[in-house]
Amino acid sequence: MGERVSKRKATLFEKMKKALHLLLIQRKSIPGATGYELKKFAGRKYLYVIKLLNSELESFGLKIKIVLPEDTQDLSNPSEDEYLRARYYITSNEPLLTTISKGQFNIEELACLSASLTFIIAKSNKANLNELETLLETKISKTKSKRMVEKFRRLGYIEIDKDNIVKLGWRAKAELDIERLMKLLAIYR
Amino acid sequence: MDTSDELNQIIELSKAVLERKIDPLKLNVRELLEKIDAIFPKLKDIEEHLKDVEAMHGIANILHEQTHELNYRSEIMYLSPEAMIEKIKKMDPITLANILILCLNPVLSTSYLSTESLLNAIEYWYAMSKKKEQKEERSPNVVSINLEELGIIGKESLAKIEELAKEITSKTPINLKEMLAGKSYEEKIQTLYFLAYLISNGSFILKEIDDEIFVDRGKSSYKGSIIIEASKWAKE
Repeated sequence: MGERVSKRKATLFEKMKKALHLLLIQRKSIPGATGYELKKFAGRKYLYVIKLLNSELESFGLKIKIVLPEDTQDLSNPSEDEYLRARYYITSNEPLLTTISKGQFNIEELACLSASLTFIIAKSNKANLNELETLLETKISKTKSKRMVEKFRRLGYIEIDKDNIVKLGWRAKAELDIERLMKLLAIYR
Repeated sequence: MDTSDELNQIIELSKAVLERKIDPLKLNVRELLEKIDAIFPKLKDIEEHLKDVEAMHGIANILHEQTHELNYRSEIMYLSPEAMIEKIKKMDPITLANILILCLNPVLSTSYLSTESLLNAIEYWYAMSKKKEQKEERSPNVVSINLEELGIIGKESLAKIEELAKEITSKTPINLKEMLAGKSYEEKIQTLYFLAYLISNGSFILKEIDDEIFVDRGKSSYKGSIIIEASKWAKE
């Protein structure tokens, strides 16, 4: 009995390692992995493996963020298919305020990113590109605003479709705590 | 209004909603449906019927956008969208940046190169054919002009510049082509050189009127040397 339990633990640990490698090592243009990929490498019970991995990562200040597809019916109770189509990322548990490195943005870019993301959310995740650029142009020059928008698109914070409709990109969905952002904006005077 | 025009109006409205130029919640779908209902008996040919179908499809899209808007606002927003946009317009950049930092949990990832992939890449490198040799770049055809031979440098040049300035002042505004007409190649180069000096000095300005260049009195706001393309103006 004891041998069987230890064997099962070892198998689970192997699966957790595979899942961790899959999530951490970037193979395509976007980091993380889809549910399909995790199921292939970690087995049918990949969600259980993810749950265990999540609890291990918590001690390091990390967590696994699941970004469900846009057409998910019930966000609180997704279906099996929706879990398979979702993307899984490793993110920090809390905002990195004490990090030594400056990050990839200066203060102006960060402010523009904040304004852009808030604007997109205010427009229910479907904003007009020209309107967004006009908003940024109230504080920065025209050429700078176009450059900023292109940078945010390249990094994955925003997506721009062929009809010039701007939405939140994969990185914004993975990294941004929208509810917290809305609360902070609501209480700011 | 023509039935066709009314239908076009509804179609344009739905397109504007899809392009997020209009807030979908500000439209009354019931009114639009009543309009289409009133138009339907007046439809004559197949084209108008097709437009009617397109208008209905447009209204369906508007309804879809309204649903999406309501769902999104009820799930996430604590403020109205207009109030949020006004707030971010008024906030200073540092506060905006600080608020975002408090809400961003960065994604962790790393890149990795395995031995196998590196070996495959080396094999591919050896299999790649050599790049064709680049064609020799043609150097631009530079013609050097001896300024002494043209009589541009020296004490005489100041007098010539003053003479040109007087000539232009008496005839302004003067067409640049007319100014250079009847002169030899060397004289044209000299005139253009002196003119560039006078313009850089702020005595005259160049104006474009009906695709023609005119020299006129005035001080240009441009600071720095003026470049006039001699090859264009000094052709014989």
